[in-house]
Amino acid sequence: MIDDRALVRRILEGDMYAFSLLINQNQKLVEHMIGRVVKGQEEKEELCQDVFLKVHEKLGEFSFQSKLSTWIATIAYRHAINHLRKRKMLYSDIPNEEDFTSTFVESETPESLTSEKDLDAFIFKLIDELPAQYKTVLMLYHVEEMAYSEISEIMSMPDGTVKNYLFRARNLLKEKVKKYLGKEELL
Amino acid sequence: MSNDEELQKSVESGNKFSGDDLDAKAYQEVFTHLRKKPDTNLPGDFADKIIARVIEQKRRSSSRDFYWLACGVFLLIVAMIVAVVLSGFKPGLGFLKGISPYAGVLVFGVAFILFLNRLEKKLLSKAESL
Repeated sequence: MIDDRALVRRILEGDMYAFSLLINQNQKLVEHMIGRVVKGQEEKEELCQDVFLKVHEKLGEFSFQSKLSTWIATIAYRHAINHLRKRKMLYSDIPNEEDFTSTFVESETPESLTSEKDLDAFIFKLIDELPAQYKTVLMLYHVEEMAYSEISEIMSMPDGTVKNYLFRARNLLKEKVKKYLGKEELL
Repeated sequence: MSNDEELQKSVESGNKFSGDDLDAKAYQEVFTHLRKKPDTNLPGDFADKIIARVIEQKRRSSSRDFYWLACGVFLLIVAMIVAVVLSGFKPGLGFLKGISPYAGVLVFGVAFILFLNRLEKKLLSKAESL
């Protein structure tokens, strides 16, 4: 596999094959990041394309202070957040802690959950309802298996905040799943 | 450290809980789900589409550069004409008479600069290919 430095040098020389390699190597990462904040397939694909266009445009500024994938993820994260802001979609910052926790945990759990598959879909839906920062932290940590330092670089926040978001997001999900499991045991 | 923090660490490190502890069970379910890769469904020609957009952007940008260059040259010519008309300047080649005895030096100077330019290009391309 071609290393990051050689790949970047070739792209800067105008090698489009090298750029398609870069896209293939990082496509899933970008899709996961964008997919956490945008649901429509067409909109998601367009935003992913925009991220790679920006990567191509800014590649000359990449100074190898971090891994190439971390830098690309940073661009994807900022692009996703800007998109949410433009669309005036629910982004802001993390909502008021107590209000959000009570609304999230107390909201109705569907009665129709009967199988493990349903529980899977249920948890996926719960993740979807979390604020964008929580979803992103969960995805980067659990799916992309990134270190706290990488996540904090991507999201421009201290390590402690990343750990806190991770803890709170998992705790919120647990509370909701616990309610579901409690109901199931009563049946 | 709170009970929840301990539980999260324990479940993350792979400990299994089989008792009645609902918190632990719920965390196990959550962690199992979080590790699952989300579906990916970008089309197979995704990279090709981006490359086509990059090429299109480059083409547009180079025709835009050409347009600005043409505008610049046109405005320069207009400015020159206006300056000549307003100042009544009459162009002449009298200055060449003064340097005519040194024509050889002039030709050598131009040839030397061209040679240096070629040499630099060759050296640069060699250094890049290393």
